[in-house]
Amino acid sequence: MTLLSAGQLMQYGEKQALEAVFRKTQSPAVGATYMALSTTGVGALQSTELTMAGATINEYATASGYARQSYGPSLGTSASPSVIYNSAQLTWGPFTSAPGTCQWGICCDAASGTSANCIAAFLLASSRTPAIGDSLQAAAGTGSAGVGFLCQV
Amino acid sequence: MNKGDELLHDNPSGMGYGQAARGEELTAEMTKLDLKNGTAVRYLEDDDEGWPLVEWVDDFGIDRITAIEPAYFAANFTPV
Repeated sequence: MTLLSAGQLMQYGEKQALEAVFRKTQSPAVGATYMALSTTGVGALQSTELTMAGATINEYATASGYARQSYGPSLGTSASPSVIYNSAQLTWGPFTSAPGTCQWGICCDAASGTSANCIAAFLLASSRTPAIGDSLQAAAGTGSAGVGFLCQV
Repeated sequence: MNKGDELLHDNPSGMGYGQAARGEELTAEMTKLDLKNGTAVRYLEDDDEGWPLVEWVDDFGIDRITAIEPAYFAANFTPV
């Protein structure tokens, strides 16, 4: 899974970013962010979903061995547009049952639970359907479009 | 179980977690990515469905988080 589209901030992330840069609120405290996988069809994921409980989120079930992986992003680049991306490879699994076909990566702010806030969504360049025993890998970002989970504003 | 507790994947069959689920040898590529027997893990938390999440490092040095089936966890992960 090396080719990914540029990510898009979701409503929660957009609001946090705007209020921070326009000095309306302090930015959230430094913390970990996590990459989830979603089976939602292309064109069906709503950017207005605030949490991982959203009706169009459709995250892989943990009853397959799946768990969100630490996103571990770089700092935003000093460029326009500024971009941020995963600095290391991400690997999910091994899966103990077939989890279905994933179409999206969704960055959120908790390792588990549906109350996690949705930050950004990344449409996979090609879907993936891991089998039992498989692990699923995504390349580390480089700052170039199409490599890793890259998000820009 | 508390966050950060260290455990060892200790499956008497010697199989990795993914291999045990599949019931047969994995491909060479997937074997390298499996949570192998003898791997040290740290307990992170239980997810909403009661599956323990464990953190570990794979053969490539990549930090991983994996959900473990509860009965498998009880039988095959021992405190260090």
